[in-house]
Amino acid sequence: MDSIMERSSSGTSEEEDMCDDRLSRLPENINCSILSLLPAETDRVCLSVVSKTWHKSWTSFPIFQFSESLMGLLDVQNQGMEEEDIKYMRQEFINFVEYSLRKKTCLSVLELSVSLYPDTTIGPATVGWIRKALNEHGVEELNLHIIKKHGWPNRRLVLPRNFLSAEKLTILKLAGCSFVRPSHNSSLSWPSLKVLHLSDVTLGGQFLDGLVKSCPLIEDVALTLCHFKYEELSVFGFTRLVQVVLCRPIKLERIEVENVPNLLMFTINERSFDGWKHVFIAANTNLEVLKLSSWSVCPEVCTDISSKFPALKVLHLNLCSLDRIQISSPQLEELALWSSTNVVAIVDAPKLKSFKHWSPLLATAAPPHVTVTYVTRVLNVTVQGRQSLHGLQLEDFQVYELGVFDLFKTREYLANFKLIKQLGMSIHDKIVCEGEPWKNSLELGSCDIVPIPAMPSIKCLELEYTLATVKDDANYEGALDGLLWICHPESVLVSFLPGNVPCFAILLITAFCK
Amino acid sequence: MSITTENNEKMITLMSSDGEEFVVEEAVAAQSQTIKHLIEDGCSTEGSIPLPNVTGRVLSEVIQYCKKHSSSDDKEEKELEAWDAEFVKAADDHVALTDLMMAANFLDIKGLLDLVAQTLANMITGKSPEEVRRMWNIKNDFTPEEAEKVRKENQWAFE
Repeated sequence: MDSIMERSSSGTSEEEDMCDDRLSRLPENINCSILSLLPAETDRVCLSVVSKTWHKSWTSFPIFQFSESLMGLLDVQNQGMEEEDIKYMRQEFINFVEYSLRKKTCLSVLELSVSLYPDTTIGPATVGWIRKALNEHGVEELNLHIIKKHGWPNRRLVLPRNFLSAEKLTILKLAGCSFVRPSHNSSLSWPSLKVLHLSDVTLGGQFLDGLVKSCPLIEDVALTLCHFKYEELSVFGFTRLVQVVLCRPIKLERIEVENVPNLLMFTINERSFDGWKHVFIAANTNLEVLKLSSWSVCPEVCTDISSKFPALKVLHLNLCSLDRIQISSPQLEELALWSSTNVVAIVDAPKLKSFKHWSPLLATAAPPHVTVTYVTRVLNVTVQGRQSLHGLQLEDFQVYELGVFDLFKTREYLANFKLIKQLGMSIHDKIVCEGEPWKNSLELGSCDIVPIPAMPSIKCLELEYTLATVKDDANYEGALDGLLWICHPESVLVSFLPGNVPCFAILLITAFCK
Repeated sequence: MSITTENNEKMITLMSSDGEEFVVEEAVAAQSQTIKHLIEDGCSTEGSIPLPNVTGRVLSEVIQYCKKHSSSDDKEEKELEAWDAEFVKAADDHVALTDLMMAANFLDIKGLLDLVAQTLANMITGKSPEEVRRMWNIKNDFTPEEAEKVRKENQWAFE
């Protein structure tokens, strides 16, 4: 080893140098594996100018991943650079991307994350190179992410229509783009496409209908914050579709899912509640996961779940406008329910492991003239199983936003679940004084009880106290009494937000001194 | 030549390019897909398996790696990782590493190939082209015109 070291350090003649240039004489496949292990495209480009061998390896390297944020370009404004310099750098970046794309002789994965600046544009040339990569190189995975920056005009990268045809494309992920004529699907052709993730993309009414014809192999569709041109969406006739995720769909009011025999997972995520929307899902023997938060389902879906979805393991449902529901499902393991009114839920699920219940705040849903003294949301759940209640293997039980006074009722109910390993509760109470408009409601406070071990032998109680202003502490007394009635902890951990009036702590001490 | 040890492990002999012979358990040697196929094809029944591309010095290191990785099970993953790190550290000059890489490639030992490739990649990451050239003794074989062109086009990446 020593002699080799010596030789390499003392070698001065050109011949000696060549002799030691073992890196360049590695087989092509090794060069590729080294290139693939470099963390950033810039490192790869850097290596490509070292020598001709490496330049060749790089041009034939099939992966191209460029991210503006990775290169620190997004932070330049904070670094106190001159406006002109920033503009120059941005343009240079685009040029660089174009140059790199142009040099590629082979490309199968193309990832580009770039911003549309108010002062510069991604030239049609870049889009052209991407299109060329799709059509000539047969790119299999395309991930085009147009970064949005707060305060910038809402612009999207407009993709040409013939962009919609790519034979080998298997994975397509687009964010912040739009197509030249979104409602026109005649040229849409992705015969190999399996995964389609779109975020912040405007979709024509017949977009999904078009997909059935043009993407026979599609398996995974995720649409996030997509603008729909029409209020109705019909997911119909996708024979291979396995997974659908709709995250905060804009303008969509109604969804129908039918004739999708292999669907395993269907999810609609809506962050905030803004009126009920409707979803209809036809019977499906393969469906395992059905998550519908803040979307109401047609009442027919709720009835007879066991025969409609016999394989169902996870069910998240919004019980809007229902006062009674019977959920009977032999395979069900996880159940989450939302309710805003009193609902009686009868659950027959012998394999249930997790149960969660949320009540959305009624602030937006309740008409202002309604006079309510105490808004408490009560959910009466009867969980039936093959065994008795005591034997049920419920491991995770969470109830959110119970009215404080519910605690008294909840106590006996919870005592039935002796095997609960984790219990979470969030207690919310909202009081509206008679005659006062809704918007003047006083939010008196909330305390989250984060994981409490098995009931009723709770050893440690963790209370998280989150309230900015305290107007009336009488309610905490009620909450606390209820809590200490449920459990008799050996230790209590209370966390406050900075600036909170620790009146709760005082109450706590008083309660313990009783 | 097949020898059987007392605990019934089949042994085989590997011969390096410089004539050095190594007797190893078949299970150890079979981590190399190349050797595994040679054994399956019956090449080991007579004499030793010649490995014309691998010197004795490198082969002994490769065998060291294979021994470690055939005796460890999944439970010792963390320990194995630490051992791997020490292993490449011991060969931490580019000549030894590229030799090891060539051998791993020829012998088709995926784990070792990945390990060395990652080590090389880590050494290259963040370096300027000039630093990479100096470090690996790579001759810049671009003509001055080509070099200027390449430099200009890639200027952005190196700023």
